[in-house]
Amino acid sequence: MAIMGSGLGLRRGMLDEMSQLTTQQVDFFEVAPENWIGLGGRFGKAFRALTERFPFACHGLSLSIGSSDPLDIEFVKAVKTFLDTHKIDIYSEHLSYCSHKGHMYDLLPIPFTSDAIDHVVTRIQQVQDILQRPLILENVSTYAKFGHMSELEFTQEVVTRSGCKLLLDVNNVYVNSVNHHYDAKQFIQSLPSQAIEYIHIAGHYDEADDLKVDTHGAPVKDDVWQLLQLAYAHHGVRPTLLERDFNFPPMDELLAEVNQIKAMQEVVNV
Amino acid sequence: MSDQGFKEVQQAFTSSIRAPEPHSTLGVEDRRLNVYRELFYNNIESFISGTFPVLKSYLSDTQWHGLVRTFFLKHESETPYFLEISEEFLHFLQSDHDDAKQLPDFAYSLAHWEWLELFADAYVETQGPLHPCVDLENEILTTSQCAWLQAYEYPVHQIMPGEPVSPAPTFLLIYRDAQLSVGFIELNPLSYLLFEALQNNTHQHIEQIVEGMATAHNMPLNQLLPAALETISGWVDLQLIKSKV
Repeated sequence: MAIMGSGLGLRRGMLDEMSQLTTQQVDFFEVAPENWIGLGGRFGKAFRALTERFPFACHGLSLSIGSSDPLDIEFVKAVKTFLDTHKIDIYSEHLSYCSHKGHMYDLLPIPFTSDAIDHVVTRIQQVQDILQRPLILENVSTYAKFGHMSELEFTQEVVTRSGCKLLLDVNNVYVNSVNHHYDAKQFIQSLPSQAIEYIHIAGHYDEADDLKVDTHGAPVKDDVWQLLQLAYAHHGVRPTLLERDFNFPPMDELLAEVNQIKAMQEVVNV
Repeated sequence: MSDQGFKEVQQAFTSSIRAPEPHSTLGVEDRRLNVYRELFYNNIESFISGTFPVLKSYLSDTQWHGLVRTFFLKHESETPYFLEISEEFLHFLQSDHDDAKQLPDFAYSLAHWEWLELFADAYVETQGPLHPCVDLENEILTTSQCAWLQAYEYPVHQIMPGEPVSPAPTFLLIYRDAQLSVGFIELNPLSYLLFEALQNNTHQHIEQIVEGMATAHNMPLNQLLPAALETISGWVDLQLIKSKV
């Protein structure tokens, strides 16, 4: 089932409350397949009930597309089975790596070098062959940068050479524009429109004036809302997901942000 | 300017994130490296402490964090699944690393028991066509797929922080009921054997199973059978007993 409109990340910590939501309130949910593959019992049951009512997108965490470790083919096959079982078309991941001699369970900055591009492009094609779907990759927040290329050059070349799609995370663009001193608007406007499948928006933490941390633990900031508006104006409206991973506010507050996304989408569509 | 190969950069950067003490590498500013060090360590620690709260509360902070640090540094986690990080940690506890070897003797048993609770909650049932048990004595009985027996050398289900732990043979049955809630029962050695026999039962009636146990343990059948039937009735009430026909 295709996703559209404005969605919310499904979290086990808020599963009871999120199970009460209607399709009037939220257009789609997103889950990390790593947290739901092989999960039975009460969680598996609640998940199946939700997939029967809502469109879902999968947003993976452990693929490690940029890792020096071998690609985990068995895992990619398990993701495909999961997507097929629950009739989910969308599988996104991160233009990042999260393992090196074993899994590290969080996202690391791929060095922006030409040998890394060769490596990533080959692996993207392997994954797309197994999944029989385009791989959609998200621009990630980073706090350190390696390699002579810019993030924009690196991303553009990966997309051009691999044919992968993009998940544009506007909060990550904001965070990186501060952390690595670049122009967020120019970054967004320079991405290829036809590659952008959907959009993420989230809150972040201000570690310092020149260091922001992508925590998904706070409301979305004004600067980031403005970038979403800019992305819609420049590339057109895309399905957009609000990410919130901890410091959960009351559901009303989350839904207010989901509604703000919808309102911005309607203004552009008029 | 030519770049270092990306694999060398990844090797150096991941080492500096895993290292117990921060050391500057690749010219990354300390506070930026520390963002990574804290995000990664806290993430892994929260997964592990979420599964092993009793083990954590039994150890000092220094000992606990030393243990998790060594796990992060030395253990090559293979699973891409977040719920299985705790299983990786269990493997690590059985390893030869000094931090793991210096733990109290009961630590692995306790951790295994805490992990089993998570395992039972998440288990994917694939049971074939089995029926609820209606007639104890005339049906071929077996057990629910969502019931697991475990014997430990310590009373792992009673361990409290700050209290001494003495070895004692301990037989536990952990299960997930029809409402999908996880529970457990402490068994005596005979009821443990009885449940095990039912778990493995393919064709015998209950009387034949108990007869076999009576012979093996040199006990009178006329005493063992009523006791066994009463014990099984309790398990039937918990929907742990199924009928094969």
